[in-house]
Amino acid sequence: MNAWWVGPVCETLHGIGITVFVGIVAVLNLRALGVARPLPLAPLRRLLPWAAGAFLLQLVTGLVIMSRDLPVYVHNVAFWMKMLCLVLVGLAAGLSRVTGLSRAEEAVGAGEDAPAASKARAIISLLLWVGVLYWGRMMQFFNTAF
Amino acid sequence: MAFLEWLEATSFSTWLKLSPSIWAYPSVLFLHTLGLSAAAGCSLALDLRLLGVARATPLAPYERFFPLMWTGFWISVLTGAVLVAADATTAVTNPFFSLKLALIALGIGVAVPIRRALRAHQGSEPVPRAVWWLAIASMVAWCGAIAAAHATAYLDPAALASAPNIGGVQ
Repeated sequence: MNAWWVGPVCETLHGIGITVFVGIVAVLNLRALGVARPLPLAPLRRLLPWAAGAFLLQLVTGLVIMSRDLPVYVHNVAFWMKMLCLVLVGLAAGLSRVTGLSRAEEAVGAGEDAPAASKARAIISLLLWVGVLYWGRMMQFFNTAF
Repeated sequence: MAFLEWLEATSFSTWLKLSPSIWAYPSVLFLHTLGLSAAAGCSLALDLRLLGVARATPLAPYERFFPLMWTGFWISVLTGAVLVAADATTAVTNPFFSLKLALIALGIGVAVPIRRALRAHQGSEPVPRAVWWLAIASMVAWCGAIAAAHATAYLDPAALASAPNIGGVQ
């Protein structure tokens, strides 16, 4: 865990993980917003387990990176902003499951328009992931304690 | 080398690197990240589809994501050029940087025939073997480019020779 290469390897995997994840989220959300409308949503959502796998990779590598330099992260404003975005992402996902919005999206067939609620969800999701990318990038510029 | 030194010493480069403003280096770096996420991220999602994930979706409509991918690509090229100018002498001479550029060239090189294959694809016929290999090449290229980008930043050969103290928050 303390070998010099563990940090760079984990950060590289973290970077690949978030790219795969954001790519899949972008494709799904853009389809909900009307891009590539001939794509039916139910089979397109088969991409989601891969996003979940990428997320797990990010979680594990993120925890390893953090554990190597814990105080730096605890005192980093950008880190907590990133965590806030992730909590909101989780809340939004939970909410669309509870309200049945996920199921409504499953029913959107080829060429059909997604419901307005699902478009709103897609915009919020895209903005939150841009937030995760933004604050993740800003972490290195908030290196000092606050 | 004289050109690289001049580039690094221009008032724009020094402003970008030394300005404490959030609009200088941090914002350019963020735009670079955003652009490459759109380009490489959507490419990787499309590659997964070509390799058989979500295979019940028709292929042709995926072509609509290409304008977004190209926009993201050009944003990262422009911001990347600015970032490189600011660190010209160290960045351009770093062998991992050349590797990164080569892998990006591969990624773009296979994206063109992939787009052509999407256009030509009809209904639910299986993905041709050649296109399957293009998707593999695309995945290798984009994941490799991300790895090479990290290596450029963290494994600077000169820095590594003197002090292998890297990793963690930079």
